[in-house]
Parts: sequence; structure tokens; C-alpha cells
Amino acid sequence: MKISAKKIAVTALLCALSMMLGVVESLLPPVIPALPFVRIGLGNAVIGLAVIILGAPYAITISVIKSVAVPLIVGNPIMAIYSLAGGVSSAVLTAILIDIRKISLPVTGILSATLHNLMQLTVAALMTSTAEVFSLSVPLFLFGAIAGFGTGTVQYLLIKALPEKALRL
Amino acid sequence: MRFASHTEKNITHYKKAPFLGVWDFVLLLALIFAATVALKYYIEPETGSVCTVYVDGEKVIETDLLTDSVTAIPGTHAVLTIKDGAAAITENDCPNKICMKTGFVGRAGGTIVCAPNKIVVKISGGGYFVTGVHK
Ligand SMILES: [Zn+2]
Repeated sequence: MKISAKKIAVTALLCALSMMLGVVESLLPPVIPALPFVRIGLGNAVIGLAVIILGAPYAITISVIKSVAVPLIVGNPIMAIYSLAGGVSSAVLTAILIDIRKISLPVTGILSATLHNLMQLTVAALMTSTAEVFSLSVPLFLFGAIAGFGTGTVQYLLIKALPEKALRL
Repeated sequence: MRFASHTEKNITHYKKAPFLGVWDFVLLLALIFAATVALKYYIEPETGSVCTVYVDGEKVIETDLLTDSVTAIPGTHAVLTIKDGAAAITENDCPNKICMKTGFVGRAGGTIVCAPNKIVVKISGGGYFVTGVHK
């Protein structure tokens, strides 16, 4: 693995982009009002792109930084627990799925979003000691799956549209 | 770092990859099936039998839905009313009154949330509807 200045610059850029999306998302009303820290994870849309052009270690680094930074920026430190559980686990899954190159980016997006929500709900269940949070979750999973498909499609289109020179760092 | 060397192959692969392949259709079918089953249980939940009220995450009231009652929620200025097997927040001092506008909730899994006053009212079925799976 060679760490070029270009790679570092692109990592910083994607990191900023994912943080920005995360902050924007935290300004929108929560999907489940009872669980305001559970989020769809728009900021994770960047992760798939990072895995392809930078590699898994970079993508997971972006995910960790974003998961800690966004809650601090919006003034919700508790949210970091949810973000880390959801964001990092889905980043790892995204990295594995992209590296095995068997399924397409939109479906990778659906699976990652589903794991993201599952981990966030597990944290919610552990923190509130109420397993009932899962019974609230059907719309969240559906919403997340659609959002994951959407972000995966954006990644698919970006990879196709961007010139190969720009992708090889 | 084994993954890093994958970037070259990944870029080549995803440059040419179809929007959806065979594996994607298999997975999508499985996901649609799972979603349909989950939705069916979500849309037709059992009638609730227990009403639990949390204030700031702490359980303050647990009552059955069969007996009508009007109770002040401890630590708040809110009032919980139980009538005809359903529960509602009928009085509160929060700014937007979203909790009161929710009205009566009687289905298992139903919730009323008052975000400003950190009140959560949860309806659950007496052991019939646990963690989203019917027993
Ligand atoms: Zn209220």
C-alpha cells in the first residue's frame, strides 16, 4: 500500500463530504421519533466510493472520524455510540462486499444500510433495556433499504461517469 | 493491508459491472420476501393489553388497558388517559402538543412520544407481540 499525497487529499475530501451529509441528516427530523439517535446514515454513502478508489482501511478511517465528529459538531455526544456502532459496522460490511466483487453497488447499499440500522437498534435496545424498539423498526428498515439502494445507485453512476484517470489515485 | 491492493481490480470491475447481476436478483428477492413478512406483522399487530410510560428513560407507570383511568404522569405536567382499551396523553405543557395530537393508541407496538418533555408511552400486547415477532 502506497500512501500518496493525492490519496490523503481525497480521503480528507470524502471525510468532509461524509461529515457534511451527516450534519445535514441530523438537522432533519428523526425517522423514529421515539429513537431520535437512530439515523439512516446518509454520510455513509461516501464510504462505498472510498472503498473502491482508496481501499478499505481509508474507508473505515473516514467512517470512524465521521461517526465521532458529527455528534460532536451537532452537540449530541451520546449519538456517537449509535453512529460508531452503525457507521463502522456498515463500513466494514461495505468493504467486504465491494472487495468480493459479487454483488452490485445498489444491493451493497441496501445490505449496508440494513446492518447500519440493525446495529443502531441493538444499541438502542441495550441502552433503553427495551427489546420493543425492534417492533418500531419496520419502517426504518424499509426507509433505510430504499435510501441504501439510492446511495448505491449514486455510487454506481459516479464510478461509471468519472474518468478512469480520476479514479486511479 | 490486503484490501488496499484491491483498488485497481475494484475500479476495473465496477467500471464494467452491470447495474444488477444474478446474485443481486437472488438477494433482492430474499429481501423483498423478508420485507413482506415483516410488513404483514407490522400492519396487523395484536391489540395491546399493557401500557407503559417512560419519563426520561425511566419507567414511571405500567398499567393494563382494560380498566379506564386518568392518571397524572409523575415528574411532568402531563395526564395519561386510558379509555376503551387505548391510551392517550390528554394534557401536557409542551410547546407543540404533538403528543396530544397523536390521540388514542391501542395497538401493540404503538407509541406516543413527547420529545420536549421526554415522555414515551408504549403499548404492548400481553406476551403476544415481542420484539416484532409473533409467539
Ligand atoms: Zn408533548
